[in-house]
Amino acid sequence: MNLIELKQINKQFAGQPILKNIDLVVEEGDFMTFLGPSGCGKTTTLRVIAGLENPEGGIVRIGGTTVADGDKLQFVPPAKRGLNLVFQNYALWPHMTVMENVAFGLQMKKLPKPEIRAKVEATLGKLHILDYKDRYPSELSGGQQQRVAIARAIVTEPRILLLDEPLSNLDAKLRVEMRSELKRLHRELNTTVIYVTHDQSEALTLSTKVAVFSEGSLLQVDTPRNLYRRPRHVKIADFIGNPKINLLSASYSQENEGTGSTRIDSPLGSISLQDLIPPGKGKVTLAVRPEDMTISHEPTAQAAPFQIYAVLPAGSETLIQLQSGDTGLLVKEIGEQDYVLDSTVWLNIDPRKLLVYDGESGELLSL
Amino acid sequence: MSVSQEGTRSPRSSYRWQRLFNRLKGYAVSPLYLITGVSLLFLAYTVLLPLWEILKQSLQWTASDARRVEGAVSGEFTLHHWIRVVSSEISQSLLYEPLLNSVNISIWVSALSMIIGGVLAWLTTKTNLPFKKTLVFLAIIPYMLPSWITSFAWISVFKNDRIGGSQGIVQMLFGIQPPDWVSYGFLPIVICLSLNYFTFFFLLISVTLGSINTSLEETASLLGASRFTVLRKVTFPLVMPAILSAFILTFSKALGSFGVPAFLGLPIKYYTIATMLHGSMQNRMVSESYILSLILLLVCASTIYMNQRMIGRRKSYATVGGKDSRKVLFDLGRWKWPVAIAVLCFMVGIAIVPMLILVLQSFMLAEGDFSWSNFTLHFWTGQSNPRIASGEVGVLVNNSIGQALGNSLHIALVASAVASVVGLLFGYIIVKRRNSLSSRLIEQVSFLPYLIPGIALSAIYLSMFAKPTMFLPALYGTMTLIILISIVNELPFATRSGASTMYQIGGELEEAAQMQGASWFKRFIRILLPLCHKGLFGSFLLLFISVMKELDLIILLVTPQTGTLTTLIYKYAEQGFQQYANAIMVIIVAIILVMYFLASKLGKADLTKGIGG
Amino acid sequence: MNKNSRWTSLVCTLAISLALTACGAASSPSATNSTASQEPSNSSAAPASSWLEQAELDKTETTAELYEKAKQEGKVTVYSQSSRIKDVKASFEAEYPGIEVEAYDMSTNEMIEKITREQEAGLYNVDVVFIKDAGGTVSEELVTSGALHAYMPEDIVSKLAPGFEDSPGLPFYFSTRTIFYNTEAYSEAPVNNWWDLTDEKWKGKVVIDDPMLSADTMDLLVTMVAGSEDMAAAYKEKYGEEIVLNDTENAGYEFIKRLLANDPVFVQSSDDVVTAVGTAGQQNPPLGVTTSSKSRNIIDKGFKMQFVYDTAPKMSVAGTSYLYMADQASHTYAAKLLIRWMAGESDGTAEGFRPYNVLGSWSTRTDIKLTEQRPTSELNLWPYDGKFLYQNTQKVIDFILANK
Repeated sequence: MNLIELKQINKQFAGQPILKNIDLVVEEGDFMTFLGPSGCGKTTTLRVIAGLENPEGGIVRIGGTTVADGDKLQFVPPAKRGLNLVFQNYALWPHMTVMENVAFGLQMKKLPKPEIRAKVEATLGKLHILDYKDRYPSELSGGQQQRVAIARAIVTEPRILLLDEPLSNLDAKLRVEMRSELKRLHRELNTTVIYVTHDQSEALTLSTKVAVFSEGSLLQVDTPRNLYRRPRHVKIADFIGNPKINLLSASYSQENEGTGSTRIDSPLGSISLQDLIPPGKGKVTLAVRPEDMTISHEPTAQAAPFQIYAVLPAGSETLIQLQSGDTGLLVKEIGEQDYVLDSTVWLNIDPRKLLVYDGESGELLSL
Repeated sequence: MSVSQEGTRSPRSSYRWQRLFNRLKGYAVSPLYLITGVSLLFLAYTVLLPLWEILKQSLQWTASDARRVEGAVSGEFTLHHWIRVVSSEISQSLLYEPLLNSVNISIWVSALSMIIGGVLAWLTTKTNLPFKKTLVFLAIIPYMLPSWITSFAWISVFKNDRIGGSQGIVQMLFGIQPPDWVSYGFLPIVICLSLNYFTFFFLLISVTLGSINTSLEETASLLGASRFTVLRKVTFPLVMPAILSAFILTFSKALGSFGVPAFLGLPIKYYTIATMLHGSMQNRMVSESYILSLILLLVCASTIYMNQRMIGRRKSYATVGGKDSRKVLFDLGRWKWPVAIAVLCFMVGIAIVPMLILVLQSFMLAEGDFSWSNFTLHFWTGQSNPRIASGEVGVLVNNSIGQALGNSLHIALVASAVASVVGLLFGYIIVKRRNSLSSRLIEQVSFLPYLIPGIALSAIYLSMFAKPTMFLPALYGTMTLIILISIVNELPFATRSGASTMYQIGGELEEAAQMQGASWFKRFIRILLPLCHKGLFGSFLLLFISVMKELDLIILLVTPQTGTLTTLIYKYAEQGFQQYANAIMVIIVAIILVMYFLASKLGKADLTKGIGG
Repeated sequence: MNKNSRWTSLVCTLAISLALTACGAASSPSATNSTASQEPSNSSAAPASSWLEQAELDKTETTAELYEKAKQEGKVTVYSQSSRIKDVKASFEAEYPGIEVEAYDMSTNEMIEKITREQEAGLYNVDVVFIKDAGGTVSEELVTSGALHAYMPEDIVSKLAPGFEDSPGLPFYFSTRTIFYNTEAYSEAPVNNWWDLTDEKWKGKVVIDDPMLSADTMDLLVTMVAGSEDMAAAYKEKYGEEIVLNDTENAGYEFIKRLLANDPVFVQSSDDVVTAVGTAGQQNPPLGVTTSSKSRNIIDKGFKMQFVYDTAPKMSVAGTSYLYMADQASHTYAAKLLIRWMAGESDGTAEGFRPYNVLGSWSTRTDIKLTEQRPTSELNLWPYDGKFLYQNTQKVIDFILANK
């Protein structure tokens, strides 16, 4: 079921468009992540859904009801949309205790006091911060504050939970811990989550779906796996994955007439691919993940020679920087590997894992 | 692409009326728009309308013009007064010379205040100077004292034979006559005003210095910058917005100040625009005095504008809020104690000594006679004695003291409470609707009362509120009018303070409450007010001090029932009963001090927050 | 689009707030409930002429008659230039119980401003006005326009000293701006002619209220212009030759010009003048020009000073204080009673005058005297010419500004 629906959302700020024709569907139970660099419109989209910003055009529907109509300028206030938001820097009220912070929303709903108390304590318990209920936010660590912020957002049992870069203020260890906490909460609460982040590994590990934003437009909405394996745009390819994907400029031309295969010339040598590029000649960008290449010490067919530029062991894996002329490539191998610096090696690529993007538009060309 | 744009355009045009209706409905139910509207209306009525009246009346013939100018019909349009002020044989003495003096004074006062305030702020926030708390407290006292006290002290030390009377202390001790330029005119005016107004610089720079992350400075030192370079390249730019803010306050205040320039300038005929303005008022050249007010306002506004253009409108809040409390203090080394003693002496000299003089004088029969028999309680509690001050009774047994005290407290409490909340609301709008026209309007219009001379504003208010207007009953003669004009007069300060308080509260704190379903009113009461309370109390305190001291503004509007402590001072001073006036002043300062302690102990008021750090 | 929406928003907000003004009034600070001391003015409806008829300002009633009717009015409001009005209030309320005096105390200029603006707005709060003429403004503007009326009871007018019968209001007492000297330094008056002040000997040694801030000082200077022939004669008396004018209109202006050229010391108030002159123990005290009423300070503050009676051509101009009935006054009988009380009533013994019967002030009546000072009849004064002052003050101000 489509829980949230965005249609042709447009918004501008001081004359600059910041959201351009956003179309998006979030299904019930999704853990949807908005991913993109800062200023790409992901937070604005979240705030449009929350009702903290109003679009100048387009429609937002939640559970089938229109909550924002930018064309008719009709907007439902945030609190009546059945959702809640966790802010990037928590936005805990410093003059209230943890208890008071979390109870605020229930008080606004005029629930009876004992019920409020019970609900708040249950929520705090769920997040393991019941012991701190009488403390003020300034007396809590960053991770604890984060938990309070989440407790405050879920205590009213919203159908949709919005999280705006919730982990960006935490240190690396806490971040990993909170990730699993969030994933568990998503299951337990059975809510739909929209999660904004600029951290692609967070997006890949947490979400059921990822929406990638760039410069106010939505580039791709897909499962994390698809996003990683088949990014539809060179920008996404470049953005997703750590270590980064290798990008190479290449030119292509039609091979033998009629066979449908295309020859691509690049620093990797000549590669033949089937059925992908419209006939003719042109420029393309090749993208290949570091783990999709193998290094051999002996020359093999279709393998291109490279020099070992640097070896970067990282425990369970080893990154190898290769160089050939102006072209540098990164290869990831599992386990500890060692190479002699400046020695020549040969690089094998599985053509099926090679992604080919249009040199002009950056769109994906391979199927 | 073009197709989809078409697609979005067509529904819009078909919804045009619905869009318009919904937009209007949106404004009507949005609390932010509502309070913005009400605020604009309030400002238009209490600030712009009076200003327009002043302008209008300066462009009309008055009844008294008929005596000099043939064909002058009262109430008809004329440029006569403007030409008279701006380009006639008296323009030089009436406008240009005083204007030059005023600007000159204001610039130097700003510069000197910046040095005193800046150095003090640096010493008390960034070094290991002892007695810091005492010094901070002492630095606020000059702001509580009336400005004539300093000039009074100056004259008692540096006066020469020119104005007769008893000898100045310098003359008495060393037998030399200070030259006129030391005793009167430019130099002493600048010094005395600076000693009063450096508080602005002190408070504002202290706040900023205190909030600057020390690591910013340390990083620069690590990169090999010398101490001086760090000060110049890192600290100074960060403090710049605070300096600009203090400059605006000081410059405008100095430009409009009357008491000190009149007292110290007149003996050598050194006039400023403010003294000229007062003189024109006294001589019933009302139109001319209005024009002088408008010119004063113009000069001030353009100075502020030029400054903002030159320095840019950087806001100081960027560095505020980092919770880094780790501070590395500059070690003064062996200079620690000498500097501490020097600063302490200076502060005692400008804060405690004037107060002591005030207190002592209220107990002394004859000025300057320190023999035991000259001391008396008469001016405080004495019964009528025809040989002293025409039988005037002591201030504490005067019938009107109770009422005056009550009125003063009533006016000051209500006006400063309302003004600080209104200022907070204005600040809220300014911050929330940043970059919008209404935000700029509110920010700038609310500053105007700072530039309108009190006497001119009150004359216009008298006319405006003498009869029922619009939805208001005739307020003239009521306490309400005095409170209203005090509020309007304090708006500039209150608004600046409110805006800077609001700037420091992240918008998300309010949005979080909005998400939880809290109405605007609930958000304001439960979230914003508690978060602002330090700034709010600080602002309240500063406004309270200012309202308690106000006289010019209300003298036209008070009635016997609404008389205040300051009007009582005026009455005593008018008859030359200086000791009585001093006694009342002591009471005022005492009330202010009590309020200061109450507010800082109970309300956790922070003056530095109030001034708008 | 954006600009448009901004303007739309502004217009809308204004429109909406206009619609909500009622609610704004309720919550606006101006509506804080505080005690309004005003009582509804019931006289404003009546046309001016009928008020004048009813007020019967030309009638001379007895005190008893007035008191009877005044008791029904219950109170009287007075605007006063002098703070001693509180003593008048005390004595009046003691003598005439049942009538409350509401006394407002303010400067002449403020009073003019206040009365004008109140009456423009149709507010008639005040009954009795106690004020000086201030450069003729009161007689030429307020009295001419009918804002103030003269109340001249026969029994008191008949006691007035010659020269005072023809006044715009009831003349009450006067003081005068004159020359003070220090009696420790000078056993007798060191000057006897106004022109002495322009001598090199007194260069920088004449302390005077800044005429720009003091309307009374201005009145004296303008009167010297009016009496320019006297001034010319005094010049001749002093120097034995006719005055030579340097680009000035007459001897009055010439005096002002030379006085200004002789570096007089301007101060803010009369107190500053007498402090400068009268403080004991001075080596080289200056002369001062200020109001004679400051001679109370000789006793009050122990000042060693005296003012000069015999100054050529005249001692000074009489700065007369007048009592007026305000237009549309709602307590006419009480007002009459108060005016009579302050002027000393029929026989000159009423206590209302006592606060003003002090050294340096003179009653305008022949039957009230103070023994310590010269009687009114022996003072050599210019008359106060309100009309001339009104016509010429502005010109003299301009002249002073141009010659400063």
